[in-house]
Amino acid sequence: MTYRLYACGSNGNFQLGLDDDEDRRRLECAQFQTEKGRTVDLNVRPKKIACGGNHTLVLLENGQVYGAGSSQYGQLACLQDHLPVFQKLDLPAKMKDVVAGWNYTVFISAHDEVYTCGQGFTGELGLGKTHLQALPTKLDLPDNGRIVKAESSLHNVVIQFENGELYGFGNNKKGQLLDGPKVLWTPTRLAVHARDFALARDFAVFLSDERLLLQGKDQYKVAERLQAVDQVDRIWAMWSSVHVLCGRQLLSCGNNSHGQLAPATTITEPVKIAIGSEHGLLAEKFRVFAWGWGEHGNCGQHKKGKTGVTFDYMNTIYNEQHVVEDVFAGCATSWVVAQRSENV
Amino acid sequence: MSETITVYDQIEIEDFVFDPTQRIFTYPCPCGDRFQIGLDDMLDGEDIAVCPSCSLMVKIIFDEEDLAEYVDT
Repeated sequence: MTYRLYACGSNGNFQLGLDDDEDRRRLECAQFQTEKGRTVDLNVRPKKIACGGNHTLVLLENGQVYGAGSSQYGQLACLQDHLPVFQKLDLPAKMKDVVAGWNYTVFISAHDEVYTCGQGFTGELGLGKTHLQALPTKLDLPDNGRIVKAESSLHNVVIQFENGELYGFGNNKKGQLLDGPKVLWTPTRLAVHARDFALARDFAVFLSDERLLLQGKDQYKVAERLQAVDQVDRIWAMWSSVHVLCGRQLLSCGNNSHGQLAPATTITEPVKIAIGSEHGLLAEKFRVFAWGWGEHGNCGQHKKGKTGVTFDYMNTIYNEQHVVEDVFAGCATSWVVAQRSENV
Repeated sequence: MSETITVYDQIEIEDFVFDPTQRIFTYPCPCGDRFQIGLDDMLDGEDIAVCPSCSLMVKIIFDEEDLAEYVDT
């Protein structure tokens, strides 16, 4: 089995790994620099793609991480200004997770150490009042056992330990992480316990005792709508909306200025969902659909009769013979991981 | 037909970063670029920050007296 990584959308800083900085309205295969030269075929499964404002990280199942796009502030853990195609990053350990925000990256090692690099003016690095860190630097965290989940928004991060405790750092100007200071300069234990959580730009949603709890600024009256939701399977957040999977329904609430709230859709088979800055992706076995704000090509090309930057319907962006392994979404970027069996 | 102008979101002045050299406020745009608005434009009553790379714009929430601390920097 090999894998290919397809990308489209915003590409002003080479973040699609296509060796140029032109936006794409159609999916194209991301390129990887390996010891044997450039390739689009990966022998190891890409486990996760994490997207910052202008940089992208691909975590492989073997713990290696590749990066493309801007590293102007060291967000790709290298001294180059940018990486035009995906290159293996020189990291202190094998990683099991990676999350990214505006100009920063957080790596979680197989041994549950947390490293950060890049730029953050409101505690995004979790290293105290350090704004810039070009090389991955280890955070001080309590010995709480294994880290089971990490999420980020453009300007803050929450880490969940196996004992259920949540630690957050970064921007807390709206009180979205806890009732406290406007900036959490170092990892700080949150008062809330949660099975799942999602970080929007100015608020956060926690699934606590099977109730959805909103903290932070609520200009779109999301909290009120979430009260009626039960049987939650998973939650995600764009920058200004929340998306909740309840069985076979995807419920959205929040900002709908550009069709961000998912169009009514019947989910008929197990699906993968990815939520970007202001757009979303829904994947079936052989097809991927996009909705929301698609100005940079991240929702593909409109179907006949539709124009503009808003995709208020499920637009097909992938419809191929190769099975969709997973989907991911970033700042106006869309990513499809497809399996390729040896004989095709 | 041109698209109707929609303000994508409202952002408080405390969330913007001020660059005293260029006298502009900036804030991240979901496309990867940054919304911008000039201090002088705000002094003239402008409250819409635009992104140089896309059509999105945000309304900046501020009171006139908020600007005083930036004028002399």
